[in-house]
Amino acid sequence: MMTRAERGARIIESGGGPAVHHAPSTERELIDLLQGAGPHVTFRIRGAGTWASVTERIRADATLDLSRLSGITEYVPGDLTLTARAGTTLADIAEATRANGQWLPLDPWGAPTGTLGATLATASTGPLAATLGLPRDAALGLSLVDAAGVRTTAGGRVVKNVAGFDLVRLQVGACGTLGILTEATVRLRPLPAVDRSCAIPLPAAQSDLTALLVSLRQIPLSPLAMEALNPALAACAGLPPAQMLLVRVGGSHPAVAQAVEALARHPHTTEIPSSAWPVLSASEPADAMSVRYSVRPSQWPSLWITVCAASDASARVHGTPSRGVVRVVGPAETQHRVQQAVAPLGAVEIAEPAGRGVTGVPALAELGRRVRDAFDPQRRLNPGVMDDGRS
Amino acid sequence: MIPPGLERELADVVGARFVLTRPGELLAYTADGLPGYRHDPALVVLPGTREEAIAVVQLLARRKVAFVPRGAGTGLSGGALADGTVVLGLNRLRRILEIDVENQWAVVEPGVVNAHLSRAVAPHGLHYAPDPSSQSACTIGGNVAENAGGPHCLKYGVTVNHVLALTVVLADGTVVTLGSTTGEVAGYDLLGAFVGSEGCFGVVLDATVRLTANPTAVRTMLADFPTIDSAARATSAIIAAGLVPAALEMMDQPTIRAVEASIYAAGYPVDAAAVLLIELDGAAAGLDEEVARVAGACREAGAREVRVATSEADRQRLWQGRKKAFGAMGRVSSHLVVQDAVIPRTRLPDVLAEIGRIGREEGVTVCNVFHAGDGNLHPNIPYNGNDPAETQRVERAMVRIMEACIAAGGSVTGEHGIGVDKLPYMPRLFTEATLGAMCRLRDCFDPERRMNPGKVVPMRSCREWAMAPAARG
Repeated sequence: MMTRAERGARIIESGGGPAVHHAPSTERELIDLLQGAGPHVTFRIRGAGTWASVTERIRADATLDLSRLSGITEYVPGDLTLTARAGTTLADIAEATRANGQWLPLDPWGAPTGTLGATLATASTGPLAATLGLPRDAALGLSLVDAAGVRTTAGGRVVKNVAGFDLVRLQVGACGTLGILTEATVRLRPLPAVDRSCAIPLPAAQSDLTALLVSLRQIPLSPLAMEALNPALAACAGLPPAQMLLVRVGGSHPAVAQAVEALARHPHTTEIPSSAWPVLSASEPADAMSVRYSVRPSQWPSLWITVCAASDASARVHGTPSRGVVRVVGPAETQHRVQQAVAPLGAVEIAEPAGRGVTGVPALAELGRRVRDAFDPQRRLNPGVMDDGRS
Repeated sequence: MIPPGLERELADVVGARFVLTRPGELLAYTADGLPGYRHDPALVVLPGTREEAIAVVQLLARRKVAFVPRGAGTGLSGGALADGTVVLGLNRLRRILEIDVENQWAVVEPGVVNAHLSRAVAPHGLHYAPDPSSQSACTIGGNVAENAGGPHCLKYGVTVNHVLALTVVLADGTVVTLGSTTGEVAGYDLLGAFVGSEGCFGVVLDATVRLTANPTAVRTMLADFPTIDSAARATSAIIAAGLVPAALEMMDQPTIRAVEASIYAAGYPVDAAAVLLIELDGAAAGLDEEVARVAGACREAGAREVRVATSEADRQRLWQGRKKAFGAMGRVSSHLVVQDAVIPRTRLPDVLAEIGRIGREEGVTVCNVFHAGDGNLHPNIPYNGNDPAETQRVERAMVRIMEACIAAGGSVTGEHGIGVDKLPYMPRLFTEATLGAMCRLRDCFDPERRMNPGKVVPMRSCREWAMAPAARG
């Protein structure tokens, strides 16, 4: 067992040199690491490395690998809440909760070995976010270690809580720049009794696409997810390589049966196995380069058609009509072409990996800068991330 | 307290009619919905347009005057009280600026009354989901400040889940938009941080809120229990069974009797120890099976009777009794303390038993009317505030109830906010380091600490708080 000073010394020696890898297995070790290192030693924070592209571009003195800080620490099925350390994988949480007919409906793109901490820190979403909420809505409470190595908390373990300012929402999506997430309490949901999915071919013409989406609003059960795929991505999920809309419905037997019947009235609709969803998410390569665009949901058909037309056949494109989102996974040339094509639509553009600061709105950028200054004045945590390039 | 000439300068912005200074005029602003706190503002300013609101905030910034934004004043934590400072009333900003039916959102000014928004969008088959009991009076701006909830938040989420964007004016007069109508923004989730900031981070000029489609089918049930414990166990059983009601509310006997004795009488059984008001909604197919499962869980826990509302009028009547329960209690006594706490849902039976014990020991009547499905308790005590001995017993009972909720792993507020009332409990819930982090976040929005000073976080937790002129008031 090393002393705190020894651990700190090891980090300091590494300063400026090649990144040193630390994998603390307890919160205490993490605190000692931070407190023992000099105030100017910087850290790159990572979970399981599932989203390698998120962390690899960060230049820092040392890597803090939180994958060993794992395990479910409290799970009371009757409360539908679960507390787990940051390095716990989504797959482990899924397994533990499934046994009680529950789930944590966070399905970010990437391997299921992605961690809870990384999902919350990057606010990564998947198809379920459209109806079952964002990471900020699933997180009820957090434990963190701040840039100075001091433990803080946010929120609590109950499902409704307005005690104090909302540090949970501030931290979720902050990409570790305002504190290192060590543990989180999340809200679970009951697994639907029946969970079925259909694939509906997407029409090429914008008016037909709009008409399809309008007609889908009439199905009596609101879907758990509706995700459009381009042919390349459909093939990744083991589906025929065509533009299609996957619709997932969950609930009681009669309600789902009626909804699937309504979906089947659309020509060429086929039922697909529910296993297509995890296959789809896991098909995303760890080094994926992606950009997502969002518009008002009513403008989604035009965004979708524009993006698909500008992407080459190998790029993976998917979108969530109800959120007005289209996401493009592909090389820089594709991204550039899509960006040019989309520009006239006035879409909000979010370059992934998450973690770009605000640019273009001075008052907002100033607020973001103040927040970073307040929580990590030395820019020790994930330097360069969430910055607007001015600080 | 306030610099000379401020009244005239404010009158130049909003008109002399809308700057209140006479004691009679200020009286309505000395309290909110929670008795026990009276703070006298120096003056009240009521801008009539967005431009006037911005100009007022900028003027207060130039003159370095502390101020408290206020909506309808229905808050229940003493949050909108100003002690010798300025109240910025936002009720006159009450226009619905845009209703986008296709994208299901509306843009509203902060003074729009919650229920008015739902009424305005009803012809489109939409509603605004957060439904606090005060919805016929409370404003969207106030809801945003408090992150307000309501019975249907069990299924549909609280205010923060329904706010897409806010245009706010910060204490220094800067106008900034947080969030976006598409739900996507770069940078930190400052929108999420702003909602529920109790008027300490900025003043909402307009809010873009999500509208929710009315459900295809609704079933409203009333289950009648011989003991509070059996109603609590039924609640835990329903949640644990994976059923997700739209609302799951509990009312105990003192509440039932107060409602039944009032003009809001809903036909609740006055001999029941507690009732559960349960609403299920969604697709019509399979809904009656879910009703049967809920009824089964209630009967298994000991319900004497479970009935389903037979008509929309019947349903409305059942809800009216619940929504107006606080009002009905007003008939019982001169004062009513409405409290708010949250506990893990599996702890409902034992914490409710403990609350009953505390009430008996302190010789006060606790009326429980609350969002059982969320574990969000509202233990209310009607009393005579002019009787110092009784007031003291009520205060002691409330402290003990809050302590019981904290001990059960809960929180001291689920939807009413900290305000001034819950300040003493903050150090029980959070470490000094965490309270310090909250203060630092506040300072990002309002470095001079002029907005709603002295609320939410205990002053001593904020390092160098004494240096802030606003707090010295």
